[in-house]
Amino acid sequence: MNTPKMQQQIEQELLASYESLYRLAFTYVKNESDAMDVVQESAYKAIRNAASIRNESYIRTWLWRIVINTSLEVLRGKQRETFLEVPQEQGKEDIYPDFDTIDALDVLNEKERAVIVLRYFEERKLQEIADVLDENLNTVKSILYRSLKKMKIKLTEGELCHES
Amino acid sequence: MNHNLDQIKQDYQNIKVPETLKKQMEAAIAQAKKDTAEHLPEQADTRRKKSSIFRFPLAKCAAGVAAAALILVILANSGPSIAHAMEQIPILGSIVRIVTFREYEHQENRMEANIKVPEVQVETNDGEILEDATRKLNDNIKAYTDEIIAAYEADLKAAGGEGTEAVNLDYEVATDNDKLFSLRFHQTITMAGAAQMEKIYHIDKQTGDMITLKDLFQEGADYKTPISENIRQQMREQMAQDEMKSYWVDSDIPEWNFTEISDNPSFYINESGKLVIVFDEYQVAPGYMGVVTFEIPTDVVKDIAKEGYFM
Repeated sequence: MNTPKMQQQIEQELLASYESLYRLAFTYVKNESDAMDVVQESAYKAIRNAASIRNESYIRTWLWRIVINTSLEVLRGKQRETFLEVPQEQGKEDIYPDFDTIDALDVLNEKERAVIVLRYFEERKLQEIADVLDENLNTVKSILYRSLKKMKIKLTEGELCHES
Repeated sequence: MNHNLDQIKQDYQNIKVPETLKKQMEAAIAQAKKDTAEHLPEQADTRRKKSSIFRFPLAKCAAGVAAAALILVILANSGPSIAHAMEQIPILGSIVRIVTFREYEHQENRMEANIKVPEVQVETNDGEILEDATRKLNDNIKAYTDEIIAAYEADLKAAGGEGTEAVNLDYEVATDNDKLFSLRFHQTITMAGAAQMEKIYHIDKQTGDMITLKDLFQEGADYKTPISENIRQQMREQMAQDEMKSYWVDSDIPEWNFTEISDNPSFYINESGKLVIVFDEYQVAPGYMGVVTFEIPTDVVKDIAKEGYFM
């Protein structure tokens, strides 16, 4: 398939799923403007690299992967930016009354977060998630169980904070 | 446990997607396509370019196709519903009429076709039917639409119920003045991407004959050179004025460059009596530009044009 045609296919998929891509990015970067940047930049990268994708059935998983990687790039860039700033006081958020449950994902590492978001919130198949993360199915399953376990602990802590 | 997960999911789904995101993403897509077409190096960070990539909203959507049973309908000019449908067609000059149309409709799983095939009648002013001209035009239209239907049916068979494709063919009367009647077909094929194509038929109302672009010019006149030259000039001007526009002219790949209009290009005469040359998607520009048209100033062709077609 030639590049303009593949670009069209990628564009269609982007238009169909940009809201999901945005939400996934948001769970990483945690603010609107960075999440928008991630989606824009991912779209740009995907179209530019259309020639590198051989099979159209991989477009979706490929886009998820680009979004995750771009989100991580943005986060790393931010870490560098804020290096000299005074570190924020830890644990302050937990006592806010409008505790956002999405912060429960903070306890997870990059891969665990992708697994939870894609499996439970985007309702993707485990095999598809395995393709996104370039892991085998069993690894994804064990990441999933580990993540659920981790989150349970975190949520319990969060609830305790509210009650106190 | 699951209760908490549901709660998080709900919050996740409540993450508000900014309304401007779609436009911005489309701008990034257009920018990427443009950069690809022009072989520019990849920009490491589109955020720096934010102000310039915001501007070019694309209006393209995938056709949503629902699963349904197989329907194959051919409508004839017989029922009251058709009579009603015919009233909706905004046309009908004194000489060429669209007298009926057939509709080829098909839907199965994610395959869908909707192809409208008009039948026309060419008449003299006294209402006498010019059978030769009528048959010739209808044969041409039918050959064109049959080809589209056959291609769709071949795809349908090849996909074995698993394909995703939508073919849509519609038409309009592009020109209907004293001289000319032009019927313009719009074809859209949506697979995972969409392609748009145009086909326009022209009838000389003086003679009832089908005509092509060369028939609008004096015998033996070179109309291709001035028209092509003007189009290239317009392409350059548009690209200089608007960086989101892109045509294959002066590009790095000489074989892609637009050099000359074909022997039988798509065209029509617009409301102000100007010649408009139509190019299908991908013909002279990257796909994001869609179907592109160029209005040719009458000055460019007035010395070689036959009288009465252009204003």
